[in-house]
Amino acid sequence: MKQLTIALAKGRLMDETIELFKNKGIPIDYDEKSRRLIFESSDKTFRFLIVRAQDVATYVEGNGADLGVAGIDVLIENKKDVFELMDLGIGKCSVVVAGKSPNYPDTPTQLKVATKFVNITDEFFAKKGMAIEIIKLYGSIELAGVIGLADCIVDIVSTGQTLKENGLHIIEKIMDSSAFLISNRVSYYTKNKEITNLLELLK
Amino acid sequence: MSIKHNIPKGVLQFFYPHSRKRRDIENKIMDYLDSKDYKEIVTPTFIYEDNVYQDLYEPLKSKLFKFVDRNSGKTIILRPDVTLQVALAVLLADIDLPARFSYAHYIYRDEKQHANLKREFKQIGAEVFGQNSIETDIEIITLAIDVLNLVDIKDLVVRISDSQIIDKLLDVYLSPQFFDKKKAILRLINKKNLSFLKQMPLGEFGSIIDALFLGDINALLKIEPIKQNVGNLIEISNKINKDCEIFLDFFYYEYPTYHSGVSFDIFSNNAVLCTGGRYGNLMQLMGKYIPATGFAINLDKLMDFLYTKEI
Repeated sequence: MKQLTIALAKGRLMDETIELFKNKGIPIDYDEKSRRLIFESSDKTFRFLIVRAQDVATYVEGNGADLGVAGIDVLIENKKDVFELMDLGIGKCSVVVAGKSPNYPDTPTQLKVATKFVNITDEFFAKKGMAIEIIKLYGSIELAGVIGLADCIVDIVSTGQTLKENGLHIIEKIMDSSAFLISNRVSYYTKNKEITNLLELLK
Repeated sequence: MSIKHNIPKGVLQFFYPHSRKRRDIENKIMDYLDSKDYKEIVTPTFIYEDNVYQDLYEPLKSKLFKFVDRNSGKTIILRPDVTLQVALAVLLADIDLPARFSYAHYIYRDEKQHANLKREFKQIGAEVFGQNSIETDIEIITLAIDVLNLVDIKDLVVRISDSQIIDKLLDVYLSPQFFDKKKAILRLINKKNLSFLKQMPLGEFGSIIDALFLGDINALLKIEPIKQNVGNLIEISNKINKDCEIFLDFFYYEYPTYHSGVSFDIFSNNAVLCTGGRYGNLMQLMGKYIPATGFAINLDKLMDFLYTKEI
């Protein structure tokens, strides 16, 4: 059997993924306090890489990892050329437009939208025929809506708590998202037996 | 000392002995192709954009290096692909068929920075025109395997598919009210995203997705519209009498489409070393259907692979 390298997104999604893998009988003994960015399952069948959520697909596309676990929202945003083998049903959230009121604000010119999802936002508003200006941010997107840096924001919500606490309302939902097991386009063929086994296990 | 001059991103320079090795490998492959009756064709580095734009592979259209021809006022592009040029030459020159060609040419694609893609690279390729039989598919795949073996690359995995399988199934099984969903369906097949596909109302097509994905040959051979295509792929696989692993992928679709019919990739370890397949559809678009198939090897990627293997 060949070892499979799997890129995981640091944070809650990684915890959920490890939990899922453990439940399916994959022996993982991961020390949360450790600063190591690579670890193996106890039976050495899997090697895990800890990377940023935005980088998972880059590792997989570039063959730094055979497989990865990433939100479909990030995959659609980054347009990476990978196989989206299985919806793991974890990391569920939605990508939404949000603002100070539940409706789009009136603006004299273009709507200013703050987001880290530049492509998804662009395509969504283009389909609606609305001209917008995007302000690219890397985190704490809600703040842009609160402070007025932008007229509205496009971001992910899971419970809606962060929006609520910051006095923002959902204007419109763009898409639902959950985490997928993704595969490199070469590994899928060269390690197919191992990958098929994992898919069967995760069903 | 500060150096003010630099080369642009996405291009390479080679120093001895690497430059010499690269030339030797190129010559070795070109000599071999010549010995197999694939005679070299040399095409111009730049061409008129409007001659090829319509038929160009969709993702390449946004990656063209362009400038204006002072003589004609027309837009000229650096060739982003050689196959299209060879195909045009065959159509224009009215060459006797079947015809076999080989080439080794630089290709220019204006890729974005930081994407780990080259803007100039050398491609070695072989093309056959005028033969539609599966013997030709076997010939071209075998030739590609031989070329890689020739430069001492073993442990090959070959992916072979036929885009007609998905085309025919969608034509027969997809109810007319979902025709507008076809693009979305093809994109999902390209991504092997079964989870989303299974949420779509695909009718009978939905019930055979698993058989396609898992390569359940017995089940696939019972499906009337694709029986022949599946049988052909099996025959191709059986007749490629080489030391390599063959993976028949029945659930494969290029999107956007380039090849149409039998297509293949050849991998070793973690690298794609060769890509090829049929493109008669492209000939049709350019004015006259002539069966065509071929393959291309990125020489720079091949050299990288050989270098890594050595150390």
